Amino acid sequence: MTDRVNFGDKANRRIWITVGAGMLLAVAGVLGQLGPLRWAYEHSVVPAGAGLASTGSTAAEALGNLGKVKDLARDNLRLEQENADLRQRLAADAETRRDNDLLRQQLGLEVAGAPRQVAAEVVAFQPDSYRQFVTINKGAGSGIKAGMAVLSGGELIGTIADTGNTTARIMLVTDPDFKLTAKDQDTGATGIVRGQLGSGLILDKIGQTDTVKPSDTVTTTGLGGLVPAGLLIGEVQSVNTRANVVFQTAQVATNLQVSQLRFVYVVLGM
Amino acid sequence: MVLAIVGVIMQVSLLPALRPLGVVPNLMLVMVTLIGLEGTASTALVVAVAGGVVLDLSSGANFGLWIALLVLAALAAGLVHRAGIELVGSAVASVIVAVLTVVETVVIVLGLAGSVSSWPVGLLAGRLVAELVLNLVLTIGLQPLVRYVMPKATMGDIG
Repeated sequence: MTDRVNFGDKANRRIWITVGAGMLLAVAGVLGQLGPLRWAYEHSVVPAGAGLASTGSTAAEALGNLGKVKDLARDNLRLEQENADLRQRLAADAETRRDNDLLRQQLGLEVAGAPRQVAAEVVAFQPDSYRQFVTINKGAGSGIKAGMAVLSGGELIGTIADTGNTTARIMLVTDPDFKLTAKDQDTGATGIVRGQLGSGLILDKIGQTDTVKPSDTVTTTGLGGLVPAGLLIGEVQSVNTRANVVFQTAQVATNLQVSQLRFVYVVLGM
Repeated sequence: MVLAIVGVIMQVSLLPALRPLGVVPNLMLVMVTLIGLEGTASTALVVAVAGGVVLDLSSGANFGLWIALLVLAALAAGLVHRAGIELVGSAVASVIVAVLTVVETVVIVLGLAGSVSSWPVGLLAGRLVAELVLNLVLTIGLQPLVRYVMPKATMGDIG
């Protein structure tokens, strides 16, 4: 043991002033009154962290790929077959879309266009292991608003939680607080897609009489909010049906890998 | 201060992207604790408040959690100094970091009580263990660096 130390009032005062300042900042943050600090954050930490975030994502992707090398030949064959199948379906869909547009024109209905999107880069991540948020380098200045859908790799990965002028924060679909109405595209069954604490996402509140099967496609319904209909969320993995419960639930698989997120697209609207 | 700035930027960019063992190690908690033990509580508190604000601004939920956690770490380190406990090894720093890692996890998980329908206890325990291991490795690994960089506190300026 070393000798006990006598502390002067000056040292104590310094400590309590700093603790008080911390508490004031925390309260101001909860009340949303940290405008100048948020501006400073957007113009200092975000640019400085962007490079490191992208380096980290690249490294995580490279490390992830190391374990997959032995499966490359088999994956390549599977993807070639899937690609051929998708090209065939795309051709059929293009024909259907042309017929649909023609019929809508004849009925005097608006012809749906491709949703307007803005590309953004992930510049910061949630600093803990449990919540699922990322920050991007585009904000209200680019027309982004809270509630808008965000895509990556063709799938919905989350919605905008809040915006600054040059940054926006995305709540990922895997965050436990994430909720969005969704439907089984193959059977039309609707439910609420929710993030799970560390275990992907589930489609909840599916009626007992509705049908949901493994490998069905889950998409957005477009009901309420700023998320348009028909955005791909994932694929049903398993269904939990019990006679004594009111609703069915289904485990939904998503391709979202937080650590490998780099570029995303915010859907501004139709 | 340079060490703290590097730490905070790594905490919101590189570490969550790399996610060793599937978790994000708490580098800032380790740094604040070590600065409090190797330097002065005042310096640790300034780093805690400044770093906590940046981490809270990066975080999508629980604003204030990071400021509170890091201030607690700085105060705990300061109290240890005042009690005159021997600080040669990494034991004291490891205990503070371990306790506050558990506190952080419990606060975040309890904050989700209203949103979670089922609790994957095994998975949460696994993550906590992984985070504890990484934080303790960081504590032991970074202590010599912080000891080298921080001006040694004298009897009069430990507070």
